[in-house]
Amino acid sequence: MKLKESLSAKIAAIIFSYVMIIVLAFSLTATVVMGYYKFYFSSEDTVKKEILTDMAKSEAYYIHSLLGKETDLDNYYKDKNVFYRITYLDSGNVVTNYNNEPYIATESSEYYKYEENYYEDDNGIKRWTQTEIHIGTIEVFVAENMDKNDIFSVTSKIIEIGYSLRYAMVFIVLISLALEVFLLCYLFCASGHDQGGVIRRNYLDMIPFDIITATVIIIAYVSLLALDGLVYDLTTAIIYITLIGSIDYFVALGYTMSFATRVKTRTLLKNTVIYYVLSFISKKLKKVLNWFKYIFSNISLIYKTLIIIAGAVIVEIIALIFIINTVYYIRSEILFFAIIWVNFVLILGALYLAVIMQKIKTGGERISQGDLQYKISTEYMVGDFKSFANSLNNINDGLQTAVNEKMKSERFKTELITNVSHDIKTPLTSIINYVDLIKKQQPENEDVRQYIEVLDRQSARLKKLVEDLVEASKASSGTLPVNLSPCDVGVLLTQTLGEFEDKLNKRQLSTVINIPKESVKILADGRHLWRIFDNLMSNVCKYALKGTRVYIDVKRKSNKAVITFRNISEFELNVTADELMERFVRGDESRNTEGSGLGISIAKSLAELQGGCLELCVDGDLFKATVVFDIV
Amino acid sequence: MYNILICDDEKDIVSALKIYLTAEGYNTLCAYNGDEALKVISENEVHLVLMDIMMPHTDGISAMIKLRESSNIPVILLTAKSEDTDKILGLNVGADDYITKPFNPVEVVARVRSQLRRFTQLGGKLTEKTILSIGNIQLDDKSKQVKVDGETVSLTPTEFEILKLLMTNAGTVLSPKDIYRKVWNDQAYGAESTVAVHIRHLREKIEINPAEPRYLKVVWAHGYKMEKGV
Repeated sequence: MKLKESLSAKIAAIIFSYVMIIVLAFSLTATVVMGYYKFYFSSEDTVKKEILTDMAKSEAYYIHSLLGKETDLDNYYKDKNVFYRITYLDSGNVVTNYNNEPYIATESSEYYKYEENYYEDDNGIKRWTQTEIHIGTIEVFVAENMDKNDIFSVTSKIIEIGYSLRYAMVFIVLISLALEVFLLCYLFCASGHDQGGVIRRNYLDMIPFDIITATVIIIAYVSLLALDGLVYDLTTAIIYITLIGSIDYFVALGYTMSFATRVKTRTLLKNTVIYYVLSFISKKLKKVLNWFKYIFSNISLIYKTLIIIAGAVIVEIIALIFIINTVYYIRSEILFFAIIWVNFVLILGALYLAVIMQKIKTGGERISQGDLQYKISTEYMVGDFKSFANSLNNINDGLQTAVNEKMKSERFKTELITNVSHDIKTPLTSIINYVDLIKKQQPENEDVRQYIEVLDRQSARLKKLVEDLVEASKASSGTLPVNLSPCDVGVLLTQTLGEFEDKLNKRQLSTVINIPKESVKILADGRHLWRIFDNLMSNVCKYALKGTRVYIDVKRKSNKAVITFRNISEFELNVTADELMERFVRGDESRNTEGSGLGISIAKSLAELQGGCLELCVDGDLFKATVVFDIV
Repeated sequence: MYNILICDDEKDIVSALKIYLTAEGYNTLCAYNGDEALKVISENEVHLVLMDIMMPHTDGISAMIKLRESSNIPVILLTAKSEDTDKILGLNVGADDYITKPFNPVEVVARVRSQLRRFTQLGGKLTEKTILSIGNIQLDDKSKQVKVDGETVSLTPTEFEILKLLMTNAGTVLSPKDIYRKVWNDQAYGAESTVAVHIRHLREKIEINPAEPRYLKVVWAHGYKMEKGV
């Protein structure tokens, strides 16, 4: 891993890879050339002969060109390991410097001359013809012992060396290729790696990739052009090719390494001019879109609707203009279907709106009816409808929280009252007992006896008050168990009157009872229902004017049983019916009669607990209590 | 002479009860928590226990469970809890009776007497055919006599007939109409409230606390019934 981060290792690798590529290029060229001249299939002599024959041939062509220039051939070939012989066909003359020396290779070329004849054809246009005249034969011989230093001797030596190195060259190719591949792999892996394991981009990697790619393409094209125009001799060509090749190699290496770094840092596509331009455009577009969105969301629903309608109208007008202008070219069926489609889309839209409105309406109704669990599904809703539905849901959540809090506090209150009353009961027991004990002593003092009477009465009242308090809190918080079953109102009323007969007689109250002949059965818990009747009748006995009649009616009204208790109040009722329902409110202001003021409140809570209701009505001195329950 | 153990953490209540019970001729022993009560019972011959439920250290329920492992003497629970579930729990773990606070001392004495009679005198004997018996109530059809806790109670003929009807049909609920038809031998047309009045009087005579009857139960909105197995 450290090797990847070392800069010197990378530089060394680059230099070494450059050397290797040169070695590879040279050895590969040599191998290919040797392969072309069959170094690997023939003997050295055959190869040498073939190459030298080729050279002799080009020499013959050269002589051909020299002949036209009147050059002194003898002088020219003085320092060369080549002999020539020109035989003229017509005269039989032979020009040569060849004296039967031994030769390795020979080649001959026919010597032609071309004559051009100009003439005018029948139409008087100038034309020409060319005639080929065979003058003679040019022969070239390459000497076997090359004592002079020229291209032939050098070539011969190179062939000898090349032949001896032919297999070594293949080996060099393979080795250098392997090394080069290895070095390139290393360089690609290491590119971008900096000290400390981070991948960092250099200046080259900062340049946008498409610009670099374009530059590389241009360089490649220019170097191709440069190679194309190459007409110099071999040495110059080699230098030229090496130079251009080197430049191209470094460019390619830099390019590919930069490519590798970009891939590694995931900036290949991002760091391009095209990307910059595109992202700039999209950013601007987004801004504009957001701006529109902002404006659209901040204008009221009415204006929104107006804008949409205006848009629809404009589209329609454009469509109409288009249709009017092109109506001659459009077949009427197409027009017909277009209209149908437009209407179809409009109907779908209207249906969508109707469905959403229906959903919201149902939700609103359910919430207003107290269904706190209900949630309006905002799926498929958009924009204002969604926010409206969400608002409704939030209101419902708030309500539910409030109701839960209320229930919790009510339960807590009940618990508190139960515990407190329990703690009150114990000392109260002592009070009652000791008051009774004092009473048993029969004190002689009349005043003391009266005081004891008061204590006795008040402690009894306190006892009743504590019991009622517990019951009232239990009934109103709904912690009381309720077992509903069909109950006969007539029977209960009979039982109640039986229980209260003595008390009624004591206050000279007579009862007038109206009950339907067939039994009226309601769904209630008998014990709780008795408590309601008990409390109402206790009230009657306490507050009805002495010697009056008490009316009790049971009636059927559709599927309800209505039970009313009516009596004439002894005291002036200067409180409203609603106030009487509240806890600790009593018909008499002085509060000197027995009772806790909880009776009606308990009765009401119990009635509601069983699914019924209790209503009071005060009309002058007439007091009316109405209990309503569902008939089974 | 019966020994009665009074157990309550409220000393005033214990001494009040002591006064009442001593006046009735009982010997009293006192304890102020469950452990003390068990100790007193193990050291003395106790015939009846009056015990509070809510007490420090060992509460009434635990003490009673321990007591019931070795003894079957009557236990009356005194409790400030008037919840039905508490009463049921008390009776289930072995209490014979319960009185809710704040109580009437007369009622306590009556219940003590009742439990003692039942425990000492009536050991489940008496099986004459003409005698109907439920709990501590015995009804002799021949002599037209009714005894509650061994004491004769004077009933009017109608009350006697109603009691007899209810005792022969113990456990079933009879509506006022049924009772009227059978006792008066007549159709009841709005005369059922007579039955209700009679039953209330009857309850006052045979029950210790008519508001919380032990034998003659009111099934509200349905009728009346005699408890079967008291």
